[in-house]
Amino acid sequence: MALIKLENITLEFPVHASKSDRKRPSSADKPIGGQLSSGQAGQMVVRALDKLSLTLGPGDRLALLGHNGAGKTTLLRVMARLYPPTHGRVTIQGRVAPLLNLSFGLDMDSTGYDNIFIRGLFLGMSKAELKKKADVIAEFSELGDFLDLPMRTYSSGMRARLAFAISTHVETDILLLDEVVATGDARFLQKANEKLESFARESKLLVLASHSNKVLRDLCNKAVLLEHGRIKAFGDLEEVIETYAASAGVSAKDG
Amino acid sequence: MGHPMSDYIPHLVTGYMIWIFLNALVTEGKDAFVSNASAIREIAVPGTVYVYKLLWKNLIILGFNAIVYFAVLALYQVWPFPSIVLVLPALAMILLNGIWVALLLGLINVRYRDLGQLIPNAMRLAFFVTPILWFPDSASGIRAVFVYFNPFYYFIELLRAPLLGQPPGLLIWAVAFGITVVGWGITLPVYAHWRRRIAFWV
Repeated sequence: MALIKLENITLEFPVHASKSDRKRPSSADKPIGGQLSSGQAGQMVVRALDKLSLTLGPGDRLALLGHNGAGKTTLLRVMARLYPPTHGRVTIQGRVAPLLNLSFGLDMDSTGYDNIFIRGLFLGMSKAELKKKADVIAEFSELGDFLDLPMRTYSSGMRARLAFAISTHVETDILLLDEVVATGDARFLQKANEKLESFARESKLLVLASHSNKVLRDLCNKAVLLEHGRIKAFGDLEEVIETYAASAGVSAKDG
Repeated sequence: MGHPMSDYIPHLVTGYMIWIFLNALVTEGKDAFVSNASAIREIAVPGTVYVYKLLWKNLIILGFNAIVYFAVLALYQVWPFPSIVLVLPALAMILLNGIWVALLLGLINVRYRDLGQLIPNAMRLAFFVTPILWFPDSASGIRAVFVYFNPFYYFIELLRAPLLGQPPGLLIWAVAFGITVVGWGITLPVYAHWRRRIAFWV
């Protein structure tokens, strides 16, 4: 059972030791970032998420859209239970596998094969589970003999392949992806998409933040448009992409 | 000093080995969260996991450093039995203290990074005022303060005495136990209150 229920979430970041001398008042219609205000102790506070409510169930594949600093990664981290919200309630049922940072849990001096175990253990798999799955993961990554070489000899695309292969083979109910599927070549991208589609077909939950409309169209069936930490649009993917394109003043066809 | 060389060398080697261990627990303990920033921003595990990781790593290093200790035992024919069994409870108590030290210093350092820079300097000073290079009984008068009001003395002695075949005195155990209770008493409420902020500070 996979469920994400966010009720009236507000998340504020205190920014310590940062007092700007800039006197210019920031314009209200700035295109990027969250909302800045002053906290009790005079320090700056960034309101990254503002009274946000969202409910996702099994089979939902949600696309997160928004400008830089709109709160996409922060929202993913709230869903991964890394950031407790300042106000509001988070209910999450099911195992969560975050894939936010591709280089996390990879040791550059260990071989690719060892890294399957290192990253797998970090993501909550057991050693016995990993022993059974190591070959499947190795095959999915298509790295072949490179798996016996240290990670530092890998290109960034190869690292992404391995990291992605490990994360998507975690037995999980909820998969959180941040701008990562875009790495890798066209062939791997297709394979990754198939893997994610089968993941979604098993009526599990997927949340994906990306600036690539193509990736989002391939994988998602719902979308949320974030603007300064608020939900500006929620619903059908195409409609939300249109809304986003209209507000950003670009064509929705490509990119 | 009034101590023959055959006493001084085992005292020095054993004391220094323990000091390296304690020093690492403190200086790495303060970085318990800072040095695991990428993990803290990626997976939701209790902060104590990062502390156990550094304790385990330093226990292994202590094991390697102990090779010199065994060489000295053989060379100076020190017979540490039967007191050496007290090493186990002594190590357990040191590790118990290592946990709160890392949680507390790690938490403070993640919020006030400048403070973390002071700790290695303080530890260098502590090395010289702790009876490692010298015997505790050679500090007389006012200098005895450095022995009896120095928490490191009690933890060094807790482990050093049984390693050299002497049971540590009751005072040593009592003070070490007291420090453990006070340390946990301070750390538990502080950590319980602030641990949810760690992800925002790293």
